[in-house]
Amino acid sequence: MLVPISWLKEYVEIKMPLQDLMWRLTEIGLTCERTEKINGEDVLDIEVTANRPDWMSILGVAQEVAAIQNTKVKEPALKKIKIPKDSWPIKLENNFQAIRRWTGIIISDIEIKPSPTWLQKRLISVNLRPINNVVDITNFVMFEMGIPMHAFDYDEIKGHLMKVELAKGGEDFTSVDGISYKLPKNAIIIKDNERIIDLAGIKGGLNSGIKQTTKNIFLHSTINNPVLIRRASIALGLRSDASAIYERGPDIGGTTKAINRVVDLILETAGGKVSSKIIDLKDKDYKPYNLKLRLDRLSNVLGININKENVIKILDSLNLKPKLKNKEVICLIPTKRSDLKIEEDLIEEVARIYGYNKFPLTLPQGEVRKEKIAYFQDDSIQKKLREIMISSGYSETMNYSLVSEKTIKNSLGKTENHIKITNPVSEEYQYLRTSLLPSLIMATKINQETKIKLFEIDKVFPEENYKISAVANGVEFREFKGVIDLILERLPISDYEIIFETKDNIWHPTKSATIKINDKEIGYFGEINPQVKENFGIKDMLWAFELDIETLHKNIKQKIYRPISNYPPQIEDLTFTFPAKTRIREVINSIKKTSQLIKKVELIDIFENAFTFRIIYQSFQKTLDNKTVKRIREKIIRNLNKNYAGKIK
Amino acid sequence: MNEEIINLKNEAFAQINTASDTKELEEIRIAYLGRNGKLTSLIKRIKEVPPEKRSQVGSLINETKKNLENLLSDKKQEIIKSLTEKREWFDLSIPGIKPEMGHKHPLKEVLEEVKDVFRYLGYQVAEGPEIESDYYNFEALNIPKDHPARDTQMTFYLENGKILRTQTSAMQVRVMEKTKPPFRVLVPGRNFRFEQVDASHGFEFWQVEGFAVDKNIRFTDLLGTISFVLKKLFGEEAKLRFATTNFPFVEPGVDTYLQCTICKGKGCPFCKNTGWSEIMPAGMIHPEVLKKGKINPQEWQGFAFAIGFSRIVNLRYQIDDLRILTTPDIRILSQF
Repeated sequence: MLVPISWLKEYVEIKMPLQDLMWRLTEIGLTCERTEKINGEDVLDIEVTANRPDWMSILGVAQEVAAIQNTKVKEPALKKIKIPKDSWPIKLENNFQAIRRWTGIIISDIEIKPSPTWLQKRLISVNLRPINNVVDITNFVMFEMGIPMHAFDYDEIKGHLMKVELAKGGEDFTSVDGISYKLPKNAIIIKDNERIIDLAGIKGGLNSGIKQTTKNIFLHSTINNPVLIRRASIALGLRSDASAIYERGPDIGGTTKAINRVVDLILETAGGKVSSKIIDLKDKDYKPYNLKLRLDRLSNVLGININKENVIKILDSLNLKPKLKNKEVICLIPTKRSDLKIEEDLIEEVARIYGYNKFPLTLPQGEVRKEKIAYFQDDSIQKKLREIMISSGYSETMNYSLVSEKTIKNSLGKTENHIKITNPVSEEYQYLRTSLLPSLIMATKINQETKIKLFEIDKVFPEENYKISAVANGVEFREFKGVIDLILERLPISDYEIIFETKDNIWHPTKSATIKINDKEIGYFGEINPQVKENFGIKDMLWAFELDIETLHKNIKQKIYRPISNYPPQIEDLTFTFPAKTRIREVINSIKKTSQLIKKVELIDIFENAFTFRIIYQSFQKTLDNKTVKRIREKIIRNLNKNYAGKIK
Repeated sequence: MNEEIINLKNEAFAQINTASDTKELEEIRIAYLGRNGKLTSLIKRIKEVPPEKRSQVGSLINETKKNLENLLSDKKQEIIKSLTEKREWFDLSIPGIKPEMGHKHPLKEVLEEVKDVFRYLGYQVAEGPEIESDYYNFEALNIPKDHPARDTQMTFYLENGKILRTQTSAMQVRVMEKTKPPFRVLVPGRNFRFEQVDASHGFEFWQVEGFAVDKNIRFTDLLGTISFVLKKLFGEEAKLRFATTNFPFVEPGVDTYLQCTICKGKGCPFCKNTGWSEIMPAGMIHPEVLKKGKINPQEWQGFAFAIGFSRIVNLRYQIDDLRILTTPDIRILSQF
């Protein structure tokens, strides 16, 4: 909303510098971050919230300026309209579902000409192009009072009939500025005997518009169903000054006043005379209504005591006619303030004019709740995983949840398994991802020059369960696998099993595995399918894992301290050779199971088919002698030979 | 034996005098005075000395032992002194070898900080669905169909009739329905809006929603909480101002402006030359919303706020393009 300072001054004195005015208006809700210079004039550019149709007018803004300065608004004086004995014929057939109030009047014998300079100047200052005296006056009054108006050429209203209907959809309509439209269903239209003459609330028709030769006019002001206006203007992609006001719901009690103002100005600038009574169709009487504000409620909600004289002064400055009755203030809410519906609305009125920035700053005093709330989030595991990954040299990424069909196909996934957005911003972001891996694979592509280790922790769809995924290139498999081992060890998760297959095609068919616990899948790891790498244009070897955080969480065992032995360990390295396709994890588990005195088994070296294990023997009861260790060692050698065809070197 | 002792002493003196560090001195001490040291073994052999000479030999050994100990201690002091007095040149400017560590994402880093600040204030963190119903996202928050407020929250629709939530406020009524007040709740999370991607817009963005309901939660508590939190995040010198605004689910409504941390209020492209950044919309929870959450608005009152989280992260690190946060380029990630 553009508000020229000089126009504003017509109705209210301004007692503060422009910068202060801009901030005070912002503080009370009329966000005003900048001014424009239009035709050499300072013009405020105000963002009007959806609840304040009254701020879509210079007078409405003037009312707020008056409130912050505690001054009064000077409204333009209205002349009494001289109603003729005999009205010219006009028949209005309304549909109250579409138009809740319809106020009109006929003026005859006017002279269409350019507007006087003062009027042209006003319109230019709000970026409107002056057209002629009648059209300019309707626009002027719309800006002044926030009530849209329209003037028809009376002689073009065929049969002097105006009939309100809802469009069936597809009708042709040419607006007063000569543009043709196909009307959407349920747009509000006004027809005469023969044709559509108005797209009500949005644009007038060319056929009934004011022409150079127009002599007689029908002026009207309608209050339309805001929802229907909104839908139609969205469908047409057509936003006008009037539709912006209608969407907010202008003052339904103000139409007769607005008509009166237009009539005064037309008679003054275009001559002519009133030739009908004021026609006023409405579905009910719209009158100011009472709204109560309890003073104790006011201080309970705000947290401060504003004395009652001040409360009354503030409400009075907003023209809400407050009356104090015991500990309550009864306000009389004018129809133009239909945003004021409940007590809290009045509390806001008092608070904002009092000044939000004058309130003391406090913190809630109640007790802190002990019980868990619904939807409580336990993010402790995520935190722990993040620490492990970062300490291990992996960097965290955040990627979009929305992926393209191409990304899914490149990952050898199926779009049917993905939730689809029906109105995506682009094809690139159309499906909700079911895995974090495709985004990470694409991330390695971005970084292909470097050796990288990346991870992400986020939800996947449709279940919205959290996953942790990581990718690494340029590292040996064992270095990559070590991170998974570390995660499982540190959480800790024990007794998991590894199944040497994976179900999703994103994985290499033989170089990938599934980690399971109690028959539930924790996740997958291994190499990315060469076809997928090819599809994404990745050349390097790419290792990856994806684990389900919820499953990890459920299987975490509390760590328990184990006493340390006071007796020294015996440490020895044994090297075995194994035939091809021997799974070393099984070998290690088998060594561990040989004796309770084996405290730890580590794989410390691999050379061709020879594997060196470091075995730590230790007892809690005594220092182990060489004989005991020898017995265990021989058992290990026997077992590995029998079960794995391992040969000691 | 006397001669043996003298020889031993001379030998030891010579070694001590030529010793160059304290470790060598310790070795010499063990070699002569240790449990199996050369001098110690002489003491063990005192039996071999005829009884009349024993006392003389004994005192010679003791004297020698004392002498050696004194010399060792003097030499040690001398060596330590020379180490500090030598003013040995050493290049401490040489770059270290960093352990290879990864980088935390800036958004997650700041998020942890925000959660900690609110936990300190007694808030519990909640988590809600990103696939949401129209009811919780709009209707329950006083935003019926065709409300103009829906314009600024252009919605993604899914084939199953649900939507992607446009605001974390969608969690207000969800929590209220299942939690009896009093409560203080923080809901961080991702939201989706139909917006073309550019430097300051994206179709995915982060918010942190907070709301508190109690018998006597007041407007001043809301302003105080906002101020407390923003000063924790941006430093005590952060300047704030509050303005009235309208959201259908709060009354009174508040908008919080933070003085631009980049230009300190002078005006720069970051704050669109206004000197201030709109950062934390808030307000007292609208009675209709409480009612939808099965809470009696005459008995309970509360406040709610939302932090434009991506924006906080950007202000913190002076990131001028929202897309930076979702670009997995190691040259970006490794800066945090």
